[in-house]
Amino acid sequence: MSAGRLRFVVGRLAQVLPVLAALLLIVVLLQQMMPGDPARVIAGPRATAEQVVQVRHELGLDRPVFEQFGRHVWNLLQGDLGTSNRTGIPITAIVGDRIGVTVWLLFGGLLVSTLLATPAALLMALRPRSRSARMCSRALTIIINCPPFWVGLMLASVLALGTGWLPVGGFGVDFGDRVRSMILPSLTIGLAAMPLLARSAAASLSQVLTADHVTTARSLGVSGWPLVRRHLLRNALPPAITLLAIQAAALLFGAVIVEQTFGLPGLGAEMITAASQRDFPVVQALTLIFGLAIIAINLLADLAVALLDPRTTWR
Amino acid sequence: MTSHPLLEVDGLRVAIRRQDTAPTVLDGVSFAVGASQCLGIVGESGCGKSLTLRAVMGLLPPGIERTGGRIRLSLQPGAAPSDVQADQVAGRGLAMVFQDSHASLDPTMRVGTFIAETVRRRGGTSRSDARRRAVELLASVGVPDPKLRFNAYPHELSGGMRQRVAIALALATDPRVLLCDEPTTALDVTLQAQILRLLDTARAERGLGMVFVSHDIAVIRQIADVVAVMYAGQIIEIGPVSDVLDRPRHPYARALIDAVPSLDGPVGPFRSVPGSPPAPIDYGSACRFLDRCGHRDTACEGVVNGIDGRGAGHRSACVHSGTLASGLEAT
Ligand SMILES: Nc1ncnc2c1ncn2[C@@H]1O[C@H](COP(=O)(O)OP(=O)(O)O)[C@@H](O)[C@H]1O
Ligand SMILES: [Mg+2]
Repeated sequence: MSAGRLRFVVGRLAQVLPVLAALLLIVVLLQQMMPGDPARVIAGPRATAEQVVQVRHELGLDRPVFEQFGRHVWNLLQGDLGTSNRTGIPITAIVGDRIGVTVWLLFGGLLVSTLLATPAALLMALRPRSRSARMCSRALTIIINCPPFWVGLMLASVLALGTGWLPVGGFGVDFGDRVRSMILPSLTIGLAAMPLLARSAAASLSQVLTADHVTTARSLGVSGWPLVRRHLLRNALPPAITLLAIQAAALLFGAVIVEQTFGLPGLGAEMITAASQRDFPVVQALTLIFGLAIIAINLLADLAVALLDPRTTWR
Repeated sequence: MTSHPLLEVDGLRVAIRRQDTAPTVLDGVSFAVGASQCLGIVGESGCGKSLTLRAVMGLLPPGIERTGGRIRLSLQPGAAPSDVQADQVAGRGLAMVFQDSHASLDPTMRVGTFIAETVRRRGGTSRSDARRRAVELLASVGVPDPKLRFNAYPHELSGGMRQRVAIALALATDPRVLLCDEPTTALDVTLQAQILRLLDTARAERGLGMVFVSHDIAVIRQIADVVAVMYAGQIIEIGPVSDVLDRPRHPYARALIDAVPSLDGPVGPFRSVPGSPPAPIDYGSACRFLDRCGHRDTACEGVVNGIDGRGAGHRSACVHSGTLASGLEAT
């Protein structure tokens, strides 16, 4: 690894620390900012004022914020996400049950959007004036204006109700059922993320296409697939990866909505349930997990870009 | 044995494709280059020098099209030039060196690998032979420590070193004719002289034909045998370097050459003719220099074509060149 790259990796890793600290702080402060009093929720509607104070003391909610922060971090470091207010179940168990659904959903969405966006981007970049490229561009404009839950409902009514091949909602028990129950939600998320990805990849590709160094390569007789592989994709990939990472947050948000729409027992659906029931520890833990996921995705993307671009150095 | 030209460009026309119009930017550009010969092309920025080279290479930018003309290239030593398709000559007889060596080398490729791949594209070379050849090419263009530099990325090299690599890349295709688009403009004077010497050596050793575009008269004087002056998409004067640069006939050529500060004088502002060249959309059939010219009369408003640069001798497109030549020399 070159010195420039090494500096980049070290610098980029160091950058994660303050972001992590900020995330933790926000998660702890969330409790302060959310409407409603967790102590009152736990004590129940018929509790007296003294009982509420008592609960608040037991939970440590009357301690200074920085002390709560320290305790929270300490618990996290020991792998303790706390327990649900409502059910008393350890949150690690809840997450363990549900994280698989969300991960597969995101993976499916990413797969769908990449499979759809790549040919669209190549078409729009390499044959910008063709009829099919213009139709493709118009289709993207239409899709980008459709709200994901609506797309989900349309897909459900056309593909699932219309044919009876796919479940409209819920999560089956055996493996086959589960795979089939992921298809429509993945399509929904993938379709929602696809237009922006296709547009930006096309922009990045067509920029590389007219870049001076591509003209040089062509002047040396490089053409066809070798030109695309050796000179176009290598240079267009890093911006596309960065863009994908920036979209990670939107994708996660999409997952929350789509899990709810299709009744999938994932982290997103749990988040909505927990928020509506004022189950603060669960909301906190899930916010933390979503935040960590976004930080990790961006870190991985930046490292991948560094690996692809030899000019990388830490600035 | 008659000596054929290596490259012959005949009536090259290039237009910009717009929604409603298609202004012609190159209008009947013709020239020829022989073995070991260097044709210089000078002219103000925007007169069409780069588009001329790119059109010959078949590398016009999107939205710009060749609308006429023939390109003939001698593909074998001694063979007469034959018609070629524009998309078949790049890297197969013609190669090009660009102005901006920073932007014109692929940032993701090691320079040696790029040269070796270029060598291999010609076929019949094993991977290890191509590597050896790449190191030789790097050495021959004056890159020190070529074995070490083989693994360098372009951004790790200096501007002069990158331009040497660009030349090595072009030579790796074993071209018959090398097109150079202001390859020394971005370099300081010392490096400029080194690169010019390098190109001159390559031309002599390989019998290369060369077309060298520059807006710098001093550079053209150093490297070219024949010089064409371009104005508004046409060649308006051509001839042996010493004739054209010392005794220009066209009022524009005269103004352009006068604008160059003498070598020992102070570098003053560009002492150019007032006004600016017309935009391609305003190119007409009359003399395109007319609005800026001190010698205009009604004859200039008739049809004035660019000149066919394929013939020998010193010629100018100016309708008054016969009468002006002596007068201009006297002033
Ligand atoms: N990519 C392009 N799109 C539109 N017009 C262009 C493009 N490139 C060049 N031109 C126009 O073509 C003319 C000639 O340009 P060029 O050959 O680059 O000039 P030079 O190299 O002599 O400075 C100019 O009027 C310029 O504006
Ligand atoms: Mg130019």
